[in-house]
This record gives sequence, structure tokens and C-alpha cells, in this order.
Amino acid sequence: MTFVVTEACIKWKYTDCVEVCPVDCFCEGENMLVIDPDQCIDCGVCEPECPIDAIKPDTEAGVERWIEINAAFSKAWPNIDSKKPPFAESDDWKDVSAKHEHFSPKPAAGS
Amino acid sequence: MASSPDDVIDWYARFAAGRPGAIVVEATGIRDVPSGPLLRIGHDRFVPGLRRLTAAVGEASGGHTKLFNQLIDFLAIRRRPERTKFLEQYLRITDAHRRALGDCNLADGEVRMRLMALDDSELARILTPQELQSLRFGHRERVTDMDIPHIRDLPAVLPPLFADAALRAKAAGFDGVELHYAHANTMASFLSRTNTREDGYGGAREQRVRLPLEVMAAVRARVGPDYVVGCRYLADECIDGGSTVDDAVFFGVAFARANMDFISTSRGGKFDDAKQPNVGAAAYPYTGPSGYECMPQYISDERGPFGRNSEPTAQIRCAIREAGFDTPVVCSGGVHNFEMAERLLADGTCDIVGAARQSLADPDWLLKLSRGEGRAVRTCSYNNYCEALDQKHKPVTCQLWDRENLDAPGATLTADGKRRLTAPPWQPSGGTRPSVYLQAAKQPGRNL
Repeated sequence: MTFVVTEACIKWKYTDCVEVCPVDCFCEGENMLVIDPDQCIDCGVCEPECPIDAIKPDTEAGVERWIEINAAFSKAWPNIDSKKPPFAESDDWKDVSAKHEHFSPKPAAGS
Repeated sequence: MASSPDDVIDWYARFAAGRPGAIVVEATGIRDVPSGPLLRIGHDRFVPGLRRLTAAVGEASGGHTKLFNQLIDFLAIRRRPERTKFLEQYLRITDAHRRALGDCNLADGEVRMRLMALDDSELARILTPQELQSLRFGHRERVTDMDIPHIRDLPAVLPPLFADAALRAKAAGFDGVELHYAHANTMASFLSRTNTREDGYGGAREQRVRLPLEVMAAVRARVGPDYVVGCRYLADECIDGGSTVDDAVFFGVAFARANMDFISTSRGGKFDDAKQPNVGAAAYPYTGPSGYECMPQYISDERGPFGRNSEPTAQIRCAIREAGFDTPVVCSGGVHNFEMAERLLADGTCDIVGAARQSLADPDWLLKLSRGEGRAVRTCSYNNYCEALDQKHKPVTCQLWDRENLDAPGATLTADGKRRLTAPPWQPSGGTRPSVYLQAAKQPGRNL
């Protein structure tokens, strides 16, 4: 298994997780992060760091589409290994649960 | 591992402050060649630095901790190449390639062009298994590459290299050396059932153990009869076609007969089943099933990461005793509390218990146990955060303490300032409490 970043991260992107990853396996899209499943070593250190529980084990029910998104976009997006200011709109979006239609396939700006 | 010499010394001094019976200092290269982040002992100029290390450990442990140096030799491994670069530059063109392409008069350049035009499955049919392995994983030297002079000559070259290194360890103030015969290194590869050398150093067990014994003899001759010389080797290679516990039993008795002062077991950790690295990265022997057996983590089977080498080690020790030798046997693997350590000693699995990850999680854990403060032990979570850092050649720390009190006086941090390099100090609670000692400390004959 590995861990995956799920829907809750969209438009939030708080990046606390990237600070603690021992293998720097987070990649940054325009409005969310993903985990590179080929680099993740399942240590689970990032999971409790996420303030909105966006990081889940890939064995959890309901995360199937996010496993695919993490696998695909980790190959396309740039690596991120240090914390950034949160996404500008994050406070407006943190309590919105169904956000998958807002997923952006674009890489992080400036990359 | 840690980056600067001071960091390395601080790292070991921190373990020593917890007063374990012994510390084996990480694999240290015996050749005078650059070797990335590895410690080295391949030249006399390394002795003063290592002497600082042994002095710091002696001081931090109040002289309670014996210090051994693990001596290692390894063969070359390259990063996984880009396909084009491999076919343009690295691959040695042979007549076998020409035959496979159906034209024995092709110039090398033409062969390369044609190979590059093939798809992966066609290419796989033309390349030898080893060439294909070099393309997919990066080239790796093996002890069976008898066409390479420096590989062929290993049996002549290695005994004096190990002997010189052991003498330097002695000069640097180590209490002894541990010859590294485990995992994926040169000596382990000689012991492996995959070693098919036909020069008397491969094939049958008696031949495969020959060089490890010759190395031992050379070391013993150089350091004298009273210096501690032990070895670490695999109780099971845990790979298809590899050595099993039957081989390990045979080797263990042979080592005991050769007067090895201690015998320490490990498990797996081979290149043979390692995960394919990304292009530009090197294969790592702790990524496949045998790597899992070596450093199992919390996502596991019903056994968990605990004591996976106990039964094989017990078999080895039993055979050594039956052969009439009292060589101390060291077992490790997921040992994390008094109960487990005590059981391994009490049931005859081993004479000495080793613990790496638990000691990283809490360098003071033995001290806490001996003072009756077992509840204060920080127990390893076996998530292998530490091992991941090591794999990425970053300073190894433990997730359980590396972000604690970063601004405390005396705390040294990683270059990015995010992690402390050693566990925070522990202050024992005051008063005179009844002490609990590890059973091993009270039993005669367990004096290492």
C-alpha cells in the first residue's frame, strides 16, 4: 500500500505534510498535492500532519479514484519538499466536502 | 548517516550515553576509495578521526560500552541508465549481438543503431540476462564476473585489506571488529548459493565459506589472539536460489571452529529481488521481499516486524553448541522491550540481543529498563522513517523525537533546520528505586 492525497486537499493545499516526508514524495499541482506511489514508503508520518485529514491509506474504501490521480499526476507535477503559504482561497474551501469537480490537472504555478 | 565528522561522533556518543553493553559502529569501508556517505578505514589517515569517535563513546558511556567497528567491502554498482545512453555508450557490443541481428559484419555503431530501433521485448530477446539487468537496474559487479581481473583476484586482495583495516580499528581504540558478511556486500556474495565461481571459492558450501575464513585468519594474524573479531552474516538470504538456514548452520559452525569471538545474524537485504530504481537512481537492497525480511516495517503479515530471524538463529546456535563451541551468538530484529529481549536469552535463541531501530527510537531504553523506568521507554513504531532517510542519503533520525525541542541549547539540527540530529537528553527520575537488570548481565559466560 501507499498513502494518497484525497479530495479534501483541493483548494486547500496546506503543505504541512511535505515538511515531514522522509523521502520527499509529494508533488504539487495547481490546487492540490499528490503522493508519488513509487516513492512513498508507507511510513504514515504525513497522515496526522494534514489539518483536514486529506491523506488516507490507499486501502481505505472510497479512495480508488484518488489512487489513480496520485499515480498519474505525480509523474507530471513538480516535486515539493518544503512548506509554502496555504492556497489563497483555502479558508473558503476547507468545509466544502464535494470538490472533485474543482480538481485542476495543471501543475503548480511557476513550475 | 550524519554528514560531518562531528555529527557522526555526536550520533554515537548519544547512543553511548544510554550505556548499552556494546555498540557496533556502522559499516566502514576497508578500501581507500571514495564511497559516498560511508565511513572509511582504508588508510591510516582515517585513524585519528576514528580515535575521536572511540574516545567520545568511552566518555559518554563512562567506559561501560564496548565499541566494535563493522568492516565492509563492496563491489561497484551504477545508477539505472537511460535506455539511449545505455545502448549508445555502456553496452559492450559482442558477436552475439551481431548474430542475433543476422549480420556478422556489422560495425559496432551500426549494431547500436539497430538495437536502439528495437522495442523493449525484441531487445530483451537479444541482450544477455546480465546485459538486460544492467539496462533495467543499472550495472552491478558480481563476484562471479571472472572475466574482470579485480573480481577474479578478490581472494588474494581481500584478506590483507580486511587485516589492515582491523589493525587500524585496533589502533583507533575500538574494542573489536565485526566482519560484515551479511546482506549484499562482497563477502556475503561469496557465501551466497548464487556464487558459482569455479576457482575453489564458489559452488559447494565448503568452497563458498573459504574466503570468509581466509579473511578471518588474516585478520586474526594481524590483530593478535586477544583482540575481539566477530562477524555478521545471513541466517537466510530469503531469495530464490539463495542460501538458506541449512547453509547458515554450516557456516556458523565453520566460523565457530575458526575461533570467531562472536557470531551475529541478519536476514535478507539482497540486490537480487530489489525494486527497479527510477532512471538515474541506484538499486537498493532493502526494497524487495528479501529487503523486507531484513528491515520489516509495521505493514506486515501476522508475525509483524518482530523476531523474524529468531528461529533460524536458534538453529544456528544449537548447531554451534552441539559441535562443542561456546561462541556467543547475537540475534536482532524487531527487539523493542524487556520481555522480548529476555525471552530470546532465556529460550536459548542467542547470548546477546541487538536492537538498532529501538535504540534509535530511544537510546536510553536499556538504561530505563535497568532503573525500573520501563514505562518511560519510547517504543519504536517500525514505520521505517529512519530507513527511508538512509535510503535517500539524508541524516538518519527518528520521527518520534526529531522535531522535539528544536531550540533547546545544545541541539544540533539538519542543514534545513527541520530536524534534530540526536535524541533529546533524558534525565532519570531521582531517588533509589529497585533496579531490574537484563538477565544476561547476571549469567556467567555472557560477558561480551
